[in-house]
Order: sequence, then structure tokens, then C-alpha cells
Amino acid sequence: MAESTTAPMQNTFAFPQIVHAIHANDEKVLKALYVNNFCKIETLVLKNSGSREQAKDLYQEAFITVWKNVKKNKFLPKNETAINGYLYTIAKYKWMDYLRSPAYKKRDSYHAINETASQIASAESENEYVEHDKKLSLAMEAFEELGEACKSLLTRFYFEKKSMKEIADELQLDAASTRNKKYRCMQKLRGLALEMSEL
Amino acid sequence: MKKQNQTQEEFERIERYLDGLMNQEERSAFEASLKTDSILNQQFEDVRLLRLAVEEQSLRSKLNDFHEEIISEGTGSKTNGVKTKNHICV
Repeated sequence: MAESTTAPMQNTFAFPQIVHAIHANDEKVLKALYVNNFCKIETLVLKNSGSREQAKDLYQEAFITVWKNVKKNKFLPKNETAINGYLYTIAKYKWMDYLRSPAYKKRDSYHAINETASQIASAESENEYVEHDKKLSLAMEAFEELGEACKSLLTRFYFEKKSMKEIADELQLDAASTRNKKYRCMQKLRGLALEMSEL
Repeated sequence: MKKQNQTQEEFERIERYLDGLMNQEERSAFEASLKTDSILNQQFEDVRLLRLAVEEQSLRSKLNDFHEEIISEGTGSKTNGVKTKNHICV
């Protein structure tokens, strides 16, 4: 694991392995979780008046929620079985919320899932939280607009959590230019997010 | 987010804090500045938000890759010969 990881500094060894893997965005672990839980949730959606496309969207939103809650230590699973159960429960509640929503009653497109989820979020939480969520979505859109080189560089740092040295080696650059590129890409991202928020 | 320019040094200082790479003394000084320096505070919040955005958006794109693999397994092609439980929904 990279030195620069943002995983919790204290009590590191007290966490179960699966929690470590999620904090570190271990791709093998995330993929296994994704693949092993999809079918159950697809079946749930298909049996309850949903489509395959809706099942995929719902599942991915539920997956992201679980990932965030584990990262924030809001949910501390003992093992993989605990995560699987939690993921299913979150997906089930999200789908039930959708079925009760006006969007579903109007038979709107599947995009309604996300809208419903954010409506629930905004009803439940403080304005500050909603504001933060909006800023985050905007910054995520801005990231999509970045060039491939910056996207790939920033992904290595912040998702794969690789060290400066590993990344410099992969890109065949020296440490100083890698640091400089990281800085420039982040400024570019910041500029884009800013432009988008002013539109 | 505001249109303040940020030097590489300022950016890297914020990152060192977020990555837990500061020593106790440096950290206390940084935390004290966060309370009094509103520009630093804003920049700090921006960097933190942008890092989260990169991480979440990267995950979203990974999830789509994983999904593609479930679908392609479903249509019959077998990758690397290993069959994982529940790859194909029936």
C-alpha cells in the first residue's frame, strides 16, 4: 500500500481485512464484491416491476453508498458476509423508496432512481450536507471533462492510492515532474469545477 | 470554490496534512492556521472535495467496467477460464 494512503491512521490493525481492502480501493476485492452480489439484487428488481437497466443503476448507487459508509466508519463489517447482507438491505430500501416515489408513479425513466435518492437525502439532512453533495457532483462532472492524461494521473493518486514513487516509475518521470503534473492537474480540475458552478 | 490562485507549495502543504504526513508540531501549526486564515480554509476544503470527487468518479467508472464483464460472461465468453460463483444471473 502507498505511504500516502488516507486510510485511518489510528487502530489500523484493529480493522478486519475487508475494511482495509475497501479503504485502499483494492480492485480485486471491490470487483469480487460487485460481481458476487449483483445477481441477487437484479432478481429483486426484476421481480418487483423493474428492468435490467434499472437494476444496474440501483445496484451501483447502493454499492457506492456501502463503500462510502465503510470509508467513513459508519458501517464496520466483520467480514464479507456482513457486507453482502448490508449491500442487499441498502439496495432493497432504495428500490422500495423508488417504488413509492412520484417518479415511479408517473412511470418516469430510470434516471428517477438517482433523483429519488437525492430527494430522500435532502429531506433527511442538513442544508450544509446537501450543499456539499452538490459541490461533489459538480466536481465529479468536472473530472469527467479533464483530459485523459490528468484523469489517469489523478486516478492513480486518489483512487489507486499509489505512492509518488510508484507513479513516477510507471510514467517514467522523475519525482519533481510528477509532483508538478499532479499540482497542475488539480488546478485544472479546480478551474473546471469553478467554471461549471458559475454556469 | 473561489478563484484564488494556489501555489504548488500551498497545495502540497494541504496534501501533506490530508495524507497524515505532518509531524505533531507541523500539524498543530496547520490546524491553527485553518482556524484563522479563511483563504487557507477555503483552499483546504476545495482540495479535500476534489480528492473525494476523483476517488468516487474513478470508482463509478470501475463499476461500469465490472458490469461489462458480468454481461460479457453472460453471453458465453469465458475470461481466463476461471468461473466465479454467480457470474451469470439465471
